Amino acid sequence: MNLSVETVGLIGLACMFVLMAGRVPIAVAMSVPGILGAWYLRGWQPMTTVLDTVVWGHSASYTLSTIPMFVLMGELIFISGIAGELFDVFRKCMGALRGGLALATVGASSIFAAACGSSVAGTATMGIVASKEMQKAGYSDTLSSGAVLAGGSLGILIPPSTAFIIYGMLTEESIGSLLIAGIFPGIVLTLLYMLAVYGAVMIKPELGPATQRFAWRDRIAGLRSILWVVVLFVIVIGGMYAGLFSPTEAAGVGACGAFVIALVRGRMTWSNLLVSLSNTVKVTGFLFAIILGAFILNYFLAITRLPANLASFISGLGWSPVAVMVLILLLYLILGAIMDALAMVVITIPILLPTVQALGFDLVWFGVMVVVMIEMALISPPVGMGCFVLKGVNPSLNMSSIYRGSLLFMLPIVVLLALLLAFPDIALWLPGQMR
Amino acid sequence: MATLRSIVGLLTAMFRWLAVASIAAMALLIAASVLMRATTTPLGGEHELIELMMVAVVMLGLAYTQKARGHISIGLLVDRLPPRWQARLDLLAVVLIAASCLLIGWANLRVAYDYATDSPMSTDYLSIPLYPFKIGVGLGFWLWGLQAIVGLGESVDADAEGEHQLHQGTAT
Repeated sequence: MNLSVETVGLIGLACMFVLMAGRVPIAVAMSVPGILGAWYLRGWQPMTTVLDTVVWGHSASYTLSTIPMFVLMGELIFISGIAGELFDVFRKCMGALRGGLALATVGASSIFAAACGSSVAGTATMGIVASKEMQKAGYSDTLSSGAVLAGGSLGILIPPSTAFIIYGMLTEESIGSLLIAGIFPGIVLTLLYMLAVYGAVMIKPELGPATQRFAWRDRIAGLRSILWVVVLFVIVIGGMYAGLFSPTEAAGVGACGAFVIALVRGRMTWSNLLVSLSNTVKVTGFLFAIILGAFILNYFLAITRLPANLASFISGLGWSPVAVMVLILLLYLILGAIMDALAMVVITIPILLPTVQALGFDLVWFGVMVVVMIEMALISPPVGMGCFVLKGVNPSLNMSSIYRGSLLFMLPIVVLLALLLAFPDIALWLPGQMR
Repeated sequence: MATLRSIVGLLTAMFRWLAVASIAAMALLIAASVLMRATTTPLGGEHELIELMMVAVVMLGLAYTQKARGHISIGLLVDRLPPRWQARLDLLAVVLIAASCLLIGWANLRVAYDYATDSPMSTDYLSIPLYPFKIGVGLGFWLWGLQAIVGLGESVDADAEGEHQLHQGTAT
């Protein structure tokens, strides 16, 4: 039987989705069709050469060492116990407002996100710190879960963010520009989340009653803990923005800075250090397994010419670029609800990239759009990882409340996407000013 | 099987600690190179060292990630199937992990052999030979595959033990 390369490509993609649905690890579900497809189309020897070059080329990479360094920075900030104090500062400032604890959760999460590039760590931390506090104060589980999920998801948009680094690697865009491009949209989304909380308690005041009011002296006294994060953010992101560090250097300096913070705050024990380093090894292991699997698959897809054919087909439709972009975002919305967010990106970017380029979109701007869609995927039912993390750290919450909460906070994400579509400079202005 | 388990367990632990040491060394080296560049003279060759450390971190961490159940999979459909079907699909997953790891490991070990014998390759600045790291890549993938097999054996044993205890409980 002589199959066309396009048919082989489509069969390969179908196999990958079947394997993923069969609980095969995502990395392997991408590698297996990639290996078999390359063997079928190119032969045994070229396929084994690809296995060597792809694995070596994407693990022996100076640029990609940014990922474990930012992961380590987040792990060390996590053990430094800053998150609890951040929430306390915001609680003292906003707790007296209706829905104030939910506002405090979102605010504290956004600051925590500036030091920790992981949405999972952000959700877990705020899930432990803020979720029970809100339950005690009589908040509805829907609002409290939504606020924790939404706040946690900011970790992936506000730099440092591993998602931007992986996107940069897939598209060969500047990682520094991508990280900087996430700052304004991150701030805008934080404000939109707060607006969503405000709107929800205006409509249904019983969702989030006001709590204790604190004196100004107490509010100001807690600001010290914010200072740690601000200093770290200014050194890491500011250094990169000013051209003092490359992204890898910024990440390495950030990891050492986070170590010093944990040490000064008396939280750096041997066991904490070993846990942080081991967790970093584990996260790096699964991230790179997926990255390597994606590149093996991408080699196969490139042979099949599927991405290029898709780009020609879509360009030939004669639709406006905005209509195509809306279609791409809808595709991400659907995929995000049924598959892991990282897998969604590493599979789709190489396929969609020629189309996006052909339509004339800026790839840094598209990176921000993709990362915002990852945020949505992280909290969207039924497979949003954030939902499971929150349930894990606060088992008293039921899944239906968590899902309802996540749906409440999807509206601000949609608004941000619309704003980015209408005003691309929200993402592009700051990287345009970089040295 | 018990001997294989203990050997794989020992190797996974050894690889994990090497990966942990590499991560810590990487962070210190990057910070030191920034500091040296700002104060005295640049270190030189740190890019090559970091690239090789990255290989160590990634490859030595794969098996530990498998042991810690860190590799992500989507259980949306399979979680709803009867346990017997779940076990069959888990077996399929382990076969695929082991087969792909065996192949990728072999492809890299073959190149490592070439680098060590016929066509030696080393880094440009520090002239560090690459073959030990290529061997690390091969062994890292093989250990990942072995860890998946051992892990499946352990979970089958745990299920059998659970059923045995259940039967004993019912009998008494």
